[in-house]
Amino acid sequence: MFGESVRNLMAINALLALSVYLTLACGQLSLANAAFMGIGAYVGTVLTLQAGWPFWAVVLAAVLVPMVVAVIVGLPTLRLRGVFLAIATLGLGEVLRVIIINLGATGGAEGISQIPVKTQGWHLILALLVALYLTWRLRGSRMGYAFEAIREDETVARTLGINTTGYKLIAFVLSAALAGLAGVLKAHLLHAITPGDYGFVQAVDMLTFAVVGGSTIFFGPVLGAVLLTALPEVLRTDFLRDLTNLQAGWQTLMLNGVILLLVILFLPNGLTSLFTRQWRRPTPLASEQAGAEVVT
Amino acid sequence: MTNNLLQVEQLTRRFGGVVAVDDLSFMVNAGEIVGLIGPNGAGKTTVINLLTGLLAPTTGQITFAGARLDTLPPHQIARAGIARTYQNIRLFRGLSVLDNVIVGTHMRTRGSYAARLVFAPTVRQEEAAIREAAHALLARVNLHHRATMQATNLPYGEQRRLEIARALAAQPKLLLLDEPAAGMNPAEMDALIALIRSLREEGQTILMIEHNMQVVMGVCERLVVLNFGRKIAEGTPAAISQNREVITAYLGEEDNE
Repeated sequence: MFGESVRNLMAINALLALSVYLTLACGQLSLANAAFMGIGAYVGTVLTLQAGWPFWAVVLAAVLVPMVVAVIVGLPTLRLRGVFLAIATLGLGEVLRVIIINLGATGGAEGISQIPVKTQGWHLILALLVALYLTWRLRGSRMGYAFEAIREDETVARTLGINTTGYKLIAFVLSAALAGLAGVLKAHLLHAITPGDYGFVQAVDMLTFAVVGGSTIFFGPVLGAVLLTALPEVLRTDFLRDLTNLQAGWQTLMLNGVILLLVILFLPNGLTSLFTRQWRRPTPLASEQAGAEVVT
Repeated sequence: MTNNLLQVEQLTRRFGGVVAVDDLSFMVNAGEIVGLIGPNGAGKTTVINLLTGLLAPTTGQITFAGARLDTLPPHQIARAGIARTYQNIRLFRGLSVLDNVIVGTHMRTRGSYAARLVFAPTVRQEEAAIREAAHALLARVNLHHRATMQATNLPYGEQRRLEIARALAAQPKLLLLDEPAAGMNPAEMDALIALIRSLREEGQTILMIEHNMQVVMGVCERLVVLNFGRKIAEGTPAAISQNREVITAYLGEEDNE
């Protein structure tokens, strides 16, 4: 099912969705992830083309540099809450775009082309598996509980001894790492990058993956990413074009918008809530009490 | 300094022109149960917010177990050993009853995420121990049968008990209860009194705000009475119930005196 390029894109978008998930899990609405993706992509591309680094070192740098930037940017901005954080982080993306356009090494507004294709299918699968493992082990960990507490009620979390600023920064930095990873892998897959690839549209796209899939459980964002990446391919028919009289790119945007709206209205916890609801149903008393002794 | 746990000295908090807490001094000894009472708007909750660092004092100082608290952020005050409940219940609504208590153990645990990634046995043992402790606490507040329910689905009185369990999970030196009996029926209130008494047996120090006189008289050894942010009386419940100024504050002045 689906061509190789679509499958690769699914994996990259899943990485991006997990990156957004990490900040959402901690209750932070950050729109900086597209910018971190851009940093990863540009750092990686420049190191490949101009410094001639081996691919593994390029990937490592493209993960580490966004993490460092996340610490610097996160310390002042993570004191903001809700929409204020969203606006501040959106600002970061714009600042980054302007910097990239004006730097010599980044090829300006036209971007960089003829990037050698170095990303293999198994790189993507490995990256996705690692990211999934990281997020899976987060749930139920001391840090995972701290994230959930902050998401639920930051003030109460503080009075329970949780260093909220520290944990929010960790979430922000980890999410920057995943975004940078996705950025460098995508750049070495698609030959070319431009500053416009990492703007508002990309930021909202990845947020949409996480929200549609559901951000309360770790595989939700992956589901959302896979689904929303596949959908335009499935619906790439003349029917929709005739119906809407729109070009292909706009079709995708419109479709994503409609799906986002429907999910928010009818499934506020995302598509995964369709089946997690059953898992969360209270288990019988006896088994729960037994669970206290034999927890694995 | 024998067993003086909390010392509040000349504490004042202003909100613009309003003086919510006015030159308040009192102390709480280790093992004591002290009631902070007063009419609505007397500044009781503001005192709790000052003690937990959610508000900064305008002037004055708070000393806890020999160290200054009033300059620390809330999470460090919590680490010093103060846990609280909230007047308008603030549970983690989306989490299960059990998970609410588990979050309360945060300060007592170490288990790092990195160690969990490699399934370190120490982390597994700690997690098992925490779950066991959390179940035990739920049993103590009579919520063990609710462990897997979502916190927000609990009846009101049980939500209050869960908040107490969450605060106890932190094993605080000082437990602050903000109107624990509010909204409870008589049976629940009896259970609450029994719980607080059993905590006292174990030497738990408690400072509680409460309006319900049955609870206040039933468990408090000493009362501090606030009115308009000022301390108007302090003493045993028996003495306070006879105190003229306190009666006036609650019931108003008699005309033909």
